[in-house]
Amino acid sequence: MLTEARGCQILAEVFADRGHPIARDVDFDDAGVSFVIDGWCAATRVGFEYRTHAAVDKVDLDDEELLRLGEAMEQGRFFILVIDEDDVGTADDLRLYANAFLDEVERRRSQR
Amino acid sequence: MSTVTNRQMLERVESRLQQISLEEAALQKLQRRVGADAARQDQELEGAFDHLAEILVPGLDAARLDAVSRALHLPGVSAAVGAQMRHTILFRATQRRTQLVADPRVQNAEAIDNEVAIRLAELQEAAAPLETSTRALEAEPLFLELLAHRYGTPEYVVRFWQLSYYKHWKHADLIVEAHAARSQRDTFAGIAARYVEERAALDELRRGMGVQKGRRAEVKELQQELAECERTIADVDSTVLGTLRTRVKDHLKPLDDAALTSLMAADPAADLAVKRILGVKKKKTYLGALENEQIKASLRDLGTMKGKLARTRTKLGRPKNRHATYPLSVAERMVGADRSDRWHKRRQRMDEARTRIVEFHHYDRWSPANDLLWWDVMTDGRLDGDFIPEVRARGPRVHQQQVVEHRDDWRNDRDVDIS
Repeated sequence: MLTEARGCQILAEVFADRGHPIARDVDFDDAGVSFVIDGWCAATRVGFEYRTHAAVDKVDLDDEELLRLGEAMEQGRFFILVIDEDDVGTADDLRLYANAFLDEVERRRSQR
Repeated sequence: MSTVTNRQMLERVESRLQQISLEEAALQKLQRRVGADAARQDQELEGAFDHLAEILVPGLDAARLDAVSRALHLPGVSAAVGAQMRHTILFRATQRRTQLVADPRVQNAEAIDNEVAIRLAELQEAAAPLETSTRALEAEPLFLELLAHRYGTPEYVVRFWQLSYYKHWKHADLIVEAHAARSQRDTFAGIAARYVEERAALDELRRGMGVQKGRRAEVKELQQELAECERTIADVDSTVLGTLRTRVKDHLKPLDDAALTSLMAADPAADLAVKRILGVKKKKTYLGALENEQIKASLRDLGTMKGKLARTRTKLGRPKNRHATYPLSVAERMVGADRSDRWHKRRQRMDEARTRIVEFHHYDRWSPANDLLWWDVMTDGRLDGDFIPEVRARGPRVHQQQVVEHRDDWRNDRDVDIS
């Protein structure tokens, strides 16, 4: 299983390649939810949050807050890929999923 | 006058301590053997009581049973009780056998077994393709997880911002690619629905197989019960006899020696069996006395001697005594004489007593009519049995004089003063 550090590094590379230069460990405050997000591009309002057991992110960002973030994303206000470490397979898988997410973001923005 | 240096004294003390350790080890080994011998006497005693019960109740002869019942004041082994017991066993077994023989499952056991075999083959044949199909899907990575999440249906709740959404999407596509042709469905939802149907059908077939196997097991159980009834009927006499003997044995075991001895007069055939019981009980008593009065006492005395020598060693080791010398007489008093030969002989006598006790089997030589103790019979009066309370209480016999002289050897060994 990938470590959070390696996973975040891969995601930052993919996001940057797709036009979302990522800042790491940024204070996020929107939709009534505030937390330190693992990766965030303020210009495009796209980022990622890696939830691991070790980093107690699941405590920092509870299910209720995730739902609020999800509602805001359905409205297109911003887009955050939420990764559960149990879901991550190989580095290639992570790249594939990140690209698919960014494709979906582009699709949704083009429809607005 | 001869003198001994402090260094020579220390060497003598070490030598004595080593002799004591060796003797302790030998005595402990002997103690373990005596303990094992005593434990074997328990088994021997059980066997002796079994033997006496067999002699008192050799068979189911009514007159004999009534005689034993009267002699032991034990109504539970009378001829009437034995007959009733026999009747009850036979009645229950024959009644159950009649029921079982009439049971259609027993009567048609072979036909049922064949029918079960045919039904199982049919069910297995129907289940085989379903097992292949469902196993193939269950072996796909994430198939069961996708099924649980109801992927491809309106109930699927994972959202596009969750990584698992893409993981599900990838694996669902792979599953459709691999199984669409075989299942004749082109979506994951279609394949999953087909799987659910096949799985339900397979579960139903497996339940059917379970029912058939249950029928087979039920018939087998009835056949085994019938065989058990047959055995019970065939063995009724030995069962009753065994029960009566057990009752006799349970009655005899708590009796004291006097009560057991009285059985010898009541039934001459039981004479030797009773003597064997009494003799084995005495063996246990004597082995216990040998361990407690001889071996343990010797070990205690050796421990005391070792303690004194250790204190002497400490004193001799003090700096102020480093260059001291001692007159020979004082040195011998402080360290004590070499007693290893005496200890060895004493231990040999203990082992000889153990051997005499354990190897004695001529129980017929003892008689309550004369005043000979079992110890006298076991040893022919040639061994000192002073460690046994009943022997000590009786006092030495004339032909025991030759062993009396050994009795105080050990007590003389204790007079070591190394203050």
